[in-house]
Amino acid sequence: MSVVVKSPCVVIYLKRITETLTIIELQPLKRLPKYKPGQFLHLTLDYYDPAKNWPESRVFSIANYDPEVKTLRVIYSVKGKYTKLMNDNLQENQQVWVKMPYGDFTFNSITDNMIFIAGGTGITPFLSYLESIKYKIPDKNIWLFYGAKEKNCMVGEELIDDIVLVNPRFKVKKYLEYKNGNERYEMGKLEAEKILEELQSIGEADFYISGPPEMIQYFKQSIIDAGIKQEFIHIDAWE
Amino acid sequence: MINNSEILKEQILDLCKQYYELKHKPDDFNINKDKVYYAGRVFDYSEIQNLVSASLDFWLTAGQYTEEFEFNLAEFLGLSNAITVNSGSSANLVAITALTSSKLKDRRLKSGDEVITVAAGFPSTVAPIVQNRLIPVFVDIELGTYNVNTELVEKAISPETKAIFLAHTLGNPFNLDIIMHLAKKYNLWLIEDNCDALGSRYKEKLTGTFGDLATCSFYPAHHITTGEGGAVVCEDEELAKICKSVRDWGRDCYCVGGESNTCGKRFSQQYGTLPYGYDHKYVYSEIGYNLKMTDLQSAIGCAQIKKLNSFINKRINNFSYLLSRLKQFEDFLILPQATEFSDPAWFAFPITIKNNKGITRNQITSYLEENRVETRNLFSGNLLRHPGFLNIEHRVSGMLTNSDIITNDTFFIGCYPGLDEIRLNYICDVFSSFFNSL
Repeated sequence: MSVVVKSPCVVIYLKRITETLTIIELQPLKRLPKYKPGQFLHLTLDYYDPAKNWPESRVFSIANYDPEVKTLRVIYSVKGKYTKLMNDNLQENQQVWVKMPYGDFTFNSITDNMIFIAGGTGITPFLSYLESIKYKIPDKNIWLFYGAKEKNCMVGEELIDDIVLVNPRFKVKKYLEYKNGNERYEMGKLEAEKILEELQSIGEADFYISGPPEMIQYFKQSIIDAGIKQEFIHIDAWE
Repeated sequence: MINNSEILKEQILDLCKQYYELKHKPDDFNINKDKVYYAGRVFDYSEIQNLVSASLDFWLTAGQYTEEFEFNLAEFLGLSNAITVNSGSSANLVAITALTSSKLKDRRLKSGDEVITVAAGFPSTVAPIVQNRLIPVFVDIELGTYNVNTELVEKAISPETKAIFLAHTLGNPFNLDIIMHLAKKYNLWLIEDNCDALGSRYKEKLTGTFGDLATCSFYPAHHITTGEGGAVVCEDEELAKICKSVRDWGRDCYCVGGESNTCGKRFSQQYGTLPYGYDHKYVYSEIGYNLKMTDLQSAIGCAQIKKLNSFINKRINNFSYLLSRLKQFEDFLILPQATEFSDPAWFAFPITIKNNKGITRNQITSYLEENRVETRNLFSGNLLRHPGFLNIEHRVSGMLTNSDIITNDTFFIGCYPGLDEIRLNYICDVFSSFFNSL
């Protein structure tokens, strides 16, 4: 875990994708430490007084990669009281506080193959990683299995498609629960059995899973049941 | 809108500045009365203002100033992690203890493993090795650089050797090319005791950034001060997490004081044989201590680190001045020598009396002290001659001939930023009068 710093930030961009899914971009008002793709931040809507306790906050993966930490992107969906409060109240130019960076879901894979399994807004740590390697020559094979409810919930798709075009070692399968006749997508939910079947020939791999808790648990257990050691399974799990 | 408490705080901080001017502003040197210390706090009103501001915040334990200080220290070194502790010695203890963590699996240090070090230095480089039931293996040093004789290190490595723990003596970097090569070749951990060397460089890279872990001290004699204080620094995230845990009672949770659920999974993890979801705040993964720095100390550090580059330059310039003026006594004295390819931010100016010149260390240090020039021995000299270390389990590789020589014949004088040209000139004049009196 790197040195952690707290900073006020201004919401410089806010886009509601659906009624419950929002993208925001924050501009820190203080210098923040560099973070690694996959790390997360705490965000609070309340004013933070350093002489007092840190207010109630919520954990979010940082969804972009900016080595200068001039902008932080957060993608959130309404899952509980706090995200509902954010959904109801957040506006552009509003000031919020963040503390960051945290987390060890940082893609230090042991093997040459990285399997990313993302459900919904669980895509965010992978987007940060993909942005970080976008213009680099890849030294790993990456498979992304990305599931979302519907097409407009599939955030970051443009970045993903761009990387597919320039990086032959990056392969993607996208799944929509509610398909609209578009052949680019698989239909239905992500299924562990199918994914593992597709990966049979690749040899050893590191699995990275991010999404709702029940999805993480399902994939983790399925991968363990398939005989893969725990040390190759990395999860981005919060309460 | 500024409230009354903020206005009052501004007034208090302004008074701090006035107080500094009246109470602490350095006086001109009185050649007939004043002592020339080997080290001391160098500060202005900003350190006092920060300290008072932290007091008014009354957060007390690690808070906003610790956060800022750790950030600035890590940034200065170009590393991801700086973990503040309550002293440089605690930093050494945290660093070596961290390497015994079971989280490191096959690479963890285990009881009976050997750690290469030197006998001639400060005891708290060696003490944590012994405290962790590891075996120190002592290698002799060189005169002049006062660092490990790197030619002897490879011979000292045995199948039991698992780590190298060395200080950059008095700010002078040890040969990092050779030590890094050996660490890699034999898969050894390397801890740099950088307590005396913040700002020193080897091949232009800052010391403290080469090894797996490095330590800093902020005791008043050091390059920057927080009163008591120190830090462990590293790039590796896992080592950083273990170090924090060792510092903070051994707990697994990394929330700072007054915070909860930073990890976002406080009640949903399985640890050891505890019930599932046992409160993460009270899960202990290491056998730890409580060695944290307070926010008041960090507040001083925040002001000090802004001055670090100027302090480093002053130390380098003061050292050069002393070297150029004392060169005339080289027939009697072994003068300090920077390790090849290094640019030391010298902690002090070490001197060894040549053994066939009919003078002793005590003769010259007594003369200097009588004339109000403060001196210090090179810390412990040969540590194995000290009562507390006579019976420790250890191994000596080769002979400790030079370690014994420095025990008898070496001392140092200051080159810290509080010394101006008048004081430096005075030191050199006292040396001259000593040699003229022979």
